[in-house]
Amino acid sequence: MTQADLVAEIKTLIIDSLNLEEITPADIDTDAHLFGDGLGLDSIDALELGVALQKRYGLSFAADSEETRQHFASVAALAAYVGTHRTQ
Amino acid sequence: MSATSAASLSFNLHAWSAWASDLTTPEAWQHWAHTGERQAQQQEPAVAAMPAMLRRRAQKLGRMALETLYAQPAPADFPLVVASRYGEILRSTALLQELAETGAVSPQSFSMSVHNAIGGLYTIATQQQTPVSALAAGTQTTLGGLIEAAMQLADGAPGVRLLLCDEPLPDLYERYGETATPAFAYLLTLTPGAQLRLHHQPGNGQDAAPLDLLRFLLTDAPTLSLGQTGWCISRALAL
Repeated sequence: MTQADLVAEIKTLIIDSLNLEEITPADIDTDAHLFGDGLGLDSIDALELGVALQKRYGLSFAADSEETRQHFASVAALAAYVGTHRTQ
Repeated sequence: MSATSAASLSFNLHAWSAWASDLTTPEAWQHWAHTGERQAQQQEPAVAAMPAMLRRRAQKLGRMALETLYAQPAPADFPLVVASRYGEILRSTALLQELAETGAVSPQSFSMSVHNAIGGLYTIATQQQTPVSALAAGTQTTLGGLIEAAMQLADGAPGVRLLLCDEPLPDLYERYGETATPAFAYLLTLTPGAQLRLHHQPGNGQDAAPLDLLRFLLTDAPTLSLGQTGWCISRALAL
């Protein structure tokens, strides 16, 4: 799987797991902030996304660490982390 | 109960709104109230007035309830009372099944599984700071909601918005033999007044289903039994 494929897959995972109505993968800027400004997701979404990534890629995240925050900064950051740490 | 205290549980029906998959307009509800006829069409509640980022949190019953909330003006000083026997029971059941099967639940769905979630979501979206109460009282949920609303009026609220909503139990609960009523939501805006009166009348009363109350309000029946305990709602007699 190329990194571009993984980015596309993660965007779809975000839309599906967070019930983002009216948003398509093309609407999500790969480098934009996922939380706060950017896409406008909140802390509940962060938990939901963590569970979805865990299920899909066999990842685990430390609950409230600076490192985790960085992995969740953008789709690009998530894809980089998933690409190197996935176990499935 | 003395005449004085009975009089304090009176109110007017200022406005109403209602939503079910087959009854989406006031005219359709009026027709149902007078004929009992349901329609074959099935629509989805759009809740176009709510930002999509918040609307996505609500499932079907919640969206129906939100549809009725957005259909009426919301005076800032009118508290909201939500009376629902089961709330979004399809969500709760799915969560419990997910927990049993995987040992984990969806955080997003879990956060919306509390009984006051819909009222909370609505006040967040509309930035209202009005108090929200959510109650469930089994087969006496209709009565419970009315008593709560009437008490808040008696306590000085200038008006109360009473939301009643429920959806059929999932098949899993079929063995308990509950009567399945199609999902519905309706909102009554009650204001101080004497058009309608809650009173206690010892006898063989029966618990009113929420739609029994709506039907009573939309027709001209003089009295409706609200509960086995003897509570009734009556229209003021024309003098």
